[in-house]
Amino acid sequence: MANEKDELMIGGHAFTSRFILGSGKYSYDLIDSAINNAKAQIITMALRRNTTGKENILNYIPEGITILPNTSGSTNAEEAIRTARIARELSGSNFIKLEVVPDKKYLMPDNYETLKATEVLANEGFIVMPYMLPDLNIARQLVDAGAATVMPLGAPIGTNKGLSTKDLIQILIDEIDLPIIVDAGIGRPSQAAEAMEMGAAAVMANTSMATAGNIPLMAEAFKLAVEAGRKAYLAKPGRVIEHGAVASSPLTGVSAAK
Amino acid sequence: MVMVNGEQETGVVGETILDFLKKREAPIENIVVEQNGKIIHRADFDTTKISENDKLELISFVGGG
Repeated sequence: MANEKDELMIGGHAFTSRFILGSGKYSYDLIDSAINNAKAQIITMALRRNTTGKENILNYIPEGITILPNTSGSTNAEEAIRTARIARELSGSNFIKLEVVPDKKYLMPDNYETLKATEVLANEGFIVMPYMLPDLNIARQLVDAGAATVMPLGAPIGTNKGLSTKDLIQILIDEIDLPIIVDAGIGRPSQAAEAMEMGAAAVMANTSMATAGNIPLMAEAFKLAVEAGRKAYLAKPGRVIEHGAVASSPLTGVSAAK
Repeated sequence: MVMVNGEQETGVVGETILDFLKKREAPIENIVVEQNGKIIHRADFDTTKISENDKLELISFVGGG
């Protein structure tokens, strides 16, 4: 998915940042510094019933940042489609992070309902970014249904556990001709860097920021990690020797003491 | 009876959506209104009236991942 400037292309839109920032579970006052430190160009948001007197998050979003609404709270395709239409009315853009999560304990996405919703929304012109449990067959069906990206989970939402599904994500990276954006579970910059080294097109994180002691500083750490991982991927990491060792220094010409 | 976000609301029948939102001091630019399951476009807020038995949903962007 890399072009000459190594931009991330999503639904015909180019981004230089490969780090998608969440806005949940921390003060709106910190959004601006988190975005700036992360150099993020996309920020996710949720939709909920408006309660009078609540703060307006849109007042905290800097100019030029792409809003990526999610369909969190949806437990089936029908609810997610409704939420996506509401999101588009509000954002004025076609981006939608499709989340269909009927399970309350592990917050596991329902891949089948996600696929159904993807098909409907893509036909309505949405740029559909489906969140999913990494599975090659469903990912291929999401491609056929018109998804713009595939967003496999690294670990359950909010756990900060990292790339528990690493091998399954690698299969998607290797086989799916869409940006693979690792979403959920990424808790440390090192995990984000690892996902990028593997060839993920981007990483999305929220809880890792929200639960950090210093949110803007952690946002910066993620930016550096995502950039480092991307550069490492482009540099093509060297091979691994499973047994034994290979010297880095010449084996000949070693000076003898006597 | 008019239901707003699942709660009973009185004295709003006949008001326009725009007047109703202003009265609530709701941030218009961050509100989607569904009237009986149908999205009311912002441009139509000032011409759409609230009727008896309406179910209104007022939805906004909030922080989320």
